[in-house]
Amino acid sequence: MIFKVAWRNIWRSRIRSIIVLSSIAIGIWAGLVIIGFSFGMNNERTSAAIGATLGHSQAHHRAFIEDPQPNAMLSEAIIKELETTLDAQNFVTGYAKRTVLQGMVASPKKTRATRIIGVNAEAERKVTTIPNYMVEGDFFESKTRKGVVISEKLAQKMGLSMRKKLVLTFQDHRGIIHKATFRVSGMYRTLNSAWDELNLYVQQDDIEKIVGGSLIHEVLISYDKSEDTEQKTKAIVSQIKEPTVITSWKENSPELGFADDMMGIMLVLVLGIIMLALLFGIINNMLMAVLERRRELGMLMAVGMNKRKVFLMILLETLMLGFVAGPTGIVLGDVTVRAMMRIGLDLSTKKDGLAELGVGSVIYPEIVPEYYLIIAIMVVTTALIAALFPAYKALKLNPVTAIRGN
Amino acid sequence: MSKAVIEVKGLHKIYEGAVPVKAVNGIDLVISEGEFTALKGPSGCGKTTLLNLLGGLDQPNSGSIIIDDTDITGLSDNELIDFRLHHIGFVFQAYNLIPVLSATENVSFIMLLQNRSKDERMERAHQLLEAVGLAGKEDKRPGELSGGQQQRVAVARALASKPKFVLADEPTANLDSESTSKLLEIMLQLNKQENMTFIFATHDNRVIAKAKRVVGISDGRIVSDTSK
Ligand SMILES: Nc1ncnc2c1ncn2[C@@H]1O[C@H](COP(=O)(O)OP(=O)(O)OP(=O)(O)O)[C@@H](O)[C@H]1O
Ligand SMILES: [Mg+2]
Repeated sequence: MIFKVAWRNIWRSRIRSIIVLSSIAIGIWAGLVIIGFSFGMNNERTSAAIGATLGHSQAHHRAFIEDPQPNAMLSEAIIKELETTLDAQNFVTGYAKRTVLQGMVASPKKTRATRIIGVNAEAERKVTTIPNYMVEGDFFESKTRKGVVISEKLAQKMGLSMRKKLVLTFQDHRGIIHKATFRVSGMYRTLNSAWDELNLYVQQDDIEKIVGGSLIHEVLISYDKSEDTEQKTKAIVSQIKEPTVITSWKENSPELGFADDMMGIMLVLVLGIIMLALLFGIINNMLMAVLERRRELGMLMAVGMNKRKVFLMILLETLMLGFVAGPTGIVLGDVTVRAMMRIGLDLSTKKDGLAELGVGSVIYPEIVPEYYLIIAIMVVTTALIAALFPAYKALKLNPVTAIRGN
Repeated sequence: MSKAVIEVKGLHKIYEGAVPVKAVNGIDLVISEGEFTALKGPSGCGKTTLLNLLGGLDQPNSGSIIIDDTDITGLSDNELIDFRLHHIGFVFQAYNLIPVLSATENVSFIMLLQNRSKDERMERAHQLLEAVGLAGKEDKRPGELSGGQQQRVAVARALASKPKFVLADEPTANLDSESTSKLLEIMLQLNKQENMTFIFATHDNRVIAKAKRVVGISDGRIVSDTSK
């Protein structure tokens, strides 16, 4: 019957209770939508970066990681071994061997430092999504000799356009400096403008002809799914021996990995702030409820309702608010997120700003089940904490003065 | 002579303040089982204070109140709540009932606090509401009942816990004369049928007229004590 009393008491000041219930529900709803979009945005950014530039993991010579010199390359024997290992893992969907050289790019107007990535276009297509980011020309489909794919951004900075010539200068593994002329055969634009400015692509064949031999510094590896990349990477690492080093995308892009790790903390913080606001709302509501009913509570204590039960009743009333509003908010949030998953949130007017963040213009939220539990626990905890002070106030009522009514 | 349910000796209650008020100033009183007693006196003479002391709602400065072999002046707050639940029935001037519960539920509630079984609660609530003339109104909430009907539910509630006695502070103060006589009639009947002891604080002459014993109080002392 204490349940019944608590439940009916909630509906005594209907409007006030509805206001509190809605604020709890709206708070939870907002929390879920924020979580959904944060995860959606983050995952999109991450998978775009993995697809375009990072791969799920990468293999290098240890010396290359310490200092990316041209001679820190993976020998043929090492590559053979690596290929055997990768072929044996069924989650590895592809890998691409690359030449990576630090050098200079010169146009008639300007000279800049650059990173020259020598690729095998076919292998690259299986591993990265760079071909999807072409804005002009193609990604070595036409196999033009001495073609170069540069970013739109670099083209602007260097005053280059399609079919224009540029000169690449780089050192090979023996320390010989080469100077070669290439022609712009394609232009790309990824979501990562910092990457775009630095990196350009040439065909491995052309590099081999210039330096007179194969030169592999990096193997980009892609997995079937983005889930459990850490475990999958570990599985490969356990099969690999020195001097080869396998690093996951989180290690290769610490800032992306950091954002990924921080997001959880940030979201709990956001939820915490929402809960704090709710806390005061609930305390205020329950305090009013106790003060309004002080005669009745005094009477109940006078006729023999002990303090434990009075405390429990107020606690129960507060918890019930949470139990009604909590699921409502969760359902509303869930429905909203699911609807937005289909429609997406079109932020094309803010496109440039988002591109800087490495995100596309339409954002799709994601459902993250563990946050439903976290929110549920937070709401119950908040309701419990919010109940304590009003319940304590109720206990402090003196039946004699409460009944007398002053 | 029947058994004593309350024995009060040398009771004093002083309200501290700029001018300390000796609200109860040396009272000795014995209430026996089955009495129907009114405490009368002018406003401010200390009736409510005395009743609150008898009911264990307030602590005296000195003196003893022995109920059922227990001196309740020596009990802690929590013990007092429990003692009230099992030994004393209360009818206040107003705010007796829980507004969100029906008449039956209000009467059952106190028995629930006593951990009585559902069957017993339902049966006794039904029987008591019938006794106070509210058969057919069991499911009405206090807001749907008249002031007199509410007070009758309160009387039923007071008896539901099977107390040793019922304390009623101005139970008729808010009632018209018809409701007052009806309520008194019911209480007298319960007094006769269940041998329930009633103690009122009142300055309502209609109540005083019906009382079997009238204790006059003035300035915190007993000044008269007449039984019919
Ligand atoms: N909490 C309190 N603090 C200080 N003085 C009090 C308090 N309660 C009562 N008094 C004083 O004690 C005296 C007795 O009050 P009490 O309420 O017992 O009188 P009463 O006989 O019930 O009066 P009434 O017929 O008006 O109800 C009065 O002088 C009153 O002012
Ligand atoms: Mg009084």
